Amino acid sequence: MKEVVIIGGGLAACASAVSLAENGFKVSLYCKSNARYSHSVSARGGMNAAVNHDDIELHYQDTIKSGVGLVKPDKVRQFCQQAPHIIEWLEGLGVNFDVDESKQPRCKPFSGNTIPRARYSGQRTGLKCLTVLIKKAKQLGVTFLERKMVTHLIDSERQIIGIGGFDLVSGTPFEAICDAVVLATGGYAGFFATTTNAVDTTGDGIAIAARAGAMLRDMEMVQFHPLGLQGKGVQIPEPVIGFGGQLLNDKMERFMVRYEPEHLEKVGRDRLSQCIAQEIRATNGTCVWLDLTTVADDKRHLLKEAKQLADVFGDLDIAVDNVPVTPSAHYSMGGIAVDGKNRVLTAEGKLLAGVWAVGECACSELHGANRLGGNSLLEVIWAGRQIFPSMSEYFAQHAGNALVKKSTPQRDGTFGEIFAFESWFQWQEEIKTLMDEYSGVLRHGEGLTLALDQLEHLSRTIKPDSDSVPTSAAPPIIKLICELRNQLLLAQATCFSAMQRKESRGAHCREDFPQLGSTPKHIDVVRRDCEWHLVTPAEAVI
Amino acid sequence: MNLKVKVQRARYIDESIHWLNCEVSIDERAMLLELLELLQRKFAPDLAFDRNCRIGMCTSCRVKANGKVVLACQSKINHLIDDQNHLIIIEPAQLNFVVNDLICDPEVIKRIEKEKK
Repeated sequence: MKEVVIIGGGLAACASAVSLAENGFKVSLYCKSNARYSHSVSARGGMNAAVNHDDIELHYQDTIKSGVGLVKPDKVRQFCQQAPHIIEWLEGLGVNFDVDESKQPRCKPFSGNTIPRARYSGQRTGLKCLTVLIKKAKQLGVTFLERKMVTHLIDSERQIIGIGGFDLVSGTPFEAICDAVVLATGGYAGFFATTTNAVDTTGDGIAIAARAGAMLRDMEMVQFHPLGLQGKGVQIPEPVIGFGGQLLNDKMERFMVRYEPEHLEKVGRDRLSQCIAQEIRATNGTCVWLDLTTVADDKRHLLKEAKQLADVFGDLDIAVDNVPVTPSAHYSMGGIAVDGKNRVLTAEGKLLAGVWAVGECACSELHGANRLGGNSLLEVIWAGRQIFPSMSEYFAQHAGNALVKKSTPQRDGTFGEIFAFESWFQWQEEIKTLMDEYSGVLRHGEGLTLALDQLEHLSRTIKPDSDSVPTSAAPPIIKLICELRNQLLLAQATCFSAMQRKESRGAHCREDFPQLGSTPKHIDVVRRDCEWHLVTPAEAVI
Repeated sequence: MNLKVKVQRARYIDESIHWLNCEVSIDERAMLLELLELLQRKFAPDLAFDRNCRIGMCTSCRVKANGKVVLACQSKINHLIDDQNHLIIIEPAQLNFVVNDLICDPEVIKRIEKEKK
């Protein structure tokens, strides 16, 4: 029986685990916290699926348009065709998607979608999906090895044959040998100070893959949610704009009249975030104001979630108060370069044998330069379901692992002892501040250069290519050090990639290169000799 | 406001319990989670507690504060203390399943017990 290790505990990890376990694989899932706490539960919004047969084409077109040239059309078509089946599959497992009085699906209107097509389950779509998938995975015999921090992949004869890391209960190193590894660790947008991402969203799998030689793709593509509640790390649901919400500047002017006279606030997340960022800068402010008093009476019942969030986190009553909002890092479109079957690629265009990547940690080329709202939950389930056919095809051609080379991570008696543990917290804040300041919604070559210099300076101390931790470090410090290294490595990759993309496309807005380039190109980077290098198209034979 | 804080500290692997006692200055409208993060930065970098979504969805930050089980990310400090006594005592939510300080995880405890046998 083939043994597969999955790293991660969210929807992509659990969907992959179910896909493999129901087809006879022995699956172990390694998660640095408890799988039930994964960032997937924060996805309250919904999951796109065509509302009827004709809408499959519209869903496809909306996704293609939103991605601004960096999507793979064939893959997107398959994705949109399969979406209604994914909903049926989840319903079969016990997810109750909302329906109206006549049992017709209820759908939310996300920006960029021609029609409302995001299916949802109350305000807890992600949580409900994750609960049923964890239950199903456990029924199928998947072993959950929680509170294990994976730091690296183990290779032998150019094949990945296992993982290594630290147990976060005892603090001791561990390793596990297997036939294949699936990376499903989520995105990297948590390295911004202003983010809607959960605390654990530190891009671990992407950094692990990069250290093992994987190529990263379009790392500069980070989506900012336009309606982040200022200073609170939570977003006001985007459909409030569709219900009639308006944005005002400090002078209480509806500034979108100037930026988008025709569509006003009803533009894509990328454009709306960029307009807000420009307006905040022009008015020397720190936020803009979301006015929900303008929502018509017959739609006010749809503001329940916004009302609750504004009340709990802002002490605000949306019936009378304007809500301070600011664009907040929300989703990473970039990530580990994978082929059409989610197999991880190296800079030479070859496979990193034995490794797959699914969900937000992978650059799947479904979202391109700007993810369509409602497509991320769909992707994690869809990609997870694709793992079995892909892996099964691989094993038909590869016997599995014969040679085993042990490679246990180190508890280094000297490294890091010279720093007070408090310093790691300060460095984390420093990275986040740099990313907000210079690699946020509006970017400029000068700022990116400054950020890269300062990140390089930090890397001399933090050593992001290392996986050793101080002997005296307790588990919370081990976790912090490992996460910080991952965040630093990916912050560098993001700024480096943003420097290389000398155009503005989707979520990537270069004020010194405001035009859209003539030909859509990926920015591929690889880690070599402790530095990021651009992979030239001639190198990457995809 | 000035706040007296007591936090129970314990590790499953050695079973010893002790208390972190300190006094901090914090906005009374701050969430309990902000207080825990402040304690970690100022007094005990190795203080272990779970938190992830920060919006009340994942429930990882469940702790007992002044005897009441709450989500730290959703609970304002001024709702947990009384006007006379600016003291907050923070304990694990499930005393029988403490992994490390405020982290409780029945499944991990079960796994470790099983591995011991």
